[in-house]
Amino acid sequence: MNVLIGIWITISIIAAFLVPEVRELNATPIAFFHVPMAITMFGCFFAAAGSGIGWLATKQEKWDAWSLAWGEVGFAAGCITFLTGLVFAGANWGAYWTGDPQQVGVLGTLMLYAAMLSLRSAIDDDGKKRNFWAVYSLFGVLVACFGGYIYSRIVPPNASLHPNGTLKSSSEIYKFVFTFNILGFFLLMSRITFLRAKLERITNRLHEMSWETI
Amino acid sequence: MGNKEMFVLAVTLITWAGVFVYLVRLDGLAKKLERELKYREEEKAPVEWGESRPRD
Repeated sequence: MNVLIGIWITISIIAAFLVPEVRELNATPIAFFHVPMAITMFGCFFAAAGSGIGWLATKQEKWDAWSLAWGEVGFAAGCITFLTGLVFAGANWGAYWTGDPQQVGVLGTLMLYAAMLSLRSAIDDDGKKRNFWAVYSLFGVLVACFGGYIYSRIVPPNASLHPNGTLKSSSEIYKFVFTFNILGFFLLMSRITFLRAKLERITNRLHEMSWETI
Repeated sequence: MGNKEMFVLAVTLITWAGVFVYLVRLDGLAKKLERELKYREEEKAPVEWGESRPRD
């Protein structure tokens, strides 16, 4: 599986540099990593909230492990989105930080998730920790939607430099490579989530066993 | 390939390499802990008379 993902992403990287430049973008290839990572980040945060509901409804430990894993991987995808967004801004607008609503929104979302993960790790009681995290992840996804999508669309026109609708006006090859990238990155992040959730469950089980032997 | 594209390529490759190394290490750690859990569960389970316990 890891090899398949490795080949997929490597092909994606090469393909992104072979696609013709889009007229309104300088250094087009960065869009092929920045946008799929942003979509993956949203997908992960929604999945974290969904798994959180699963925990609240069933109290099965696996749902909490999945919710935490999706949250952590979403946070990592968000960091990559932000980093590649800085490169995107530097290439297109001449400055890495422009105070663009989309940059501010994503930074706010990342700070919130960092606080959520820190809060979770600060609670010792397992039940409380899982309940809090499930509720945090529900609020977190709302903030992510506002910060990453709605905020840049409610500011006055021309307040945001961020291009929208590039995909609709682009060529078929661009659309194909773009979709290929999105699927590849989502597969990569899903694989990491699966492993992270598995690790969380094994660690919990080992922890329980160590208590049983005392 | 211009300077901008080289910079984009460098950022992309470094990020991808980092994520891939993390994926491989996570996979290794998960396998190692899975083996440890299996071993501990077998250790806890009662052993039949004459049966030897497998060890890594």
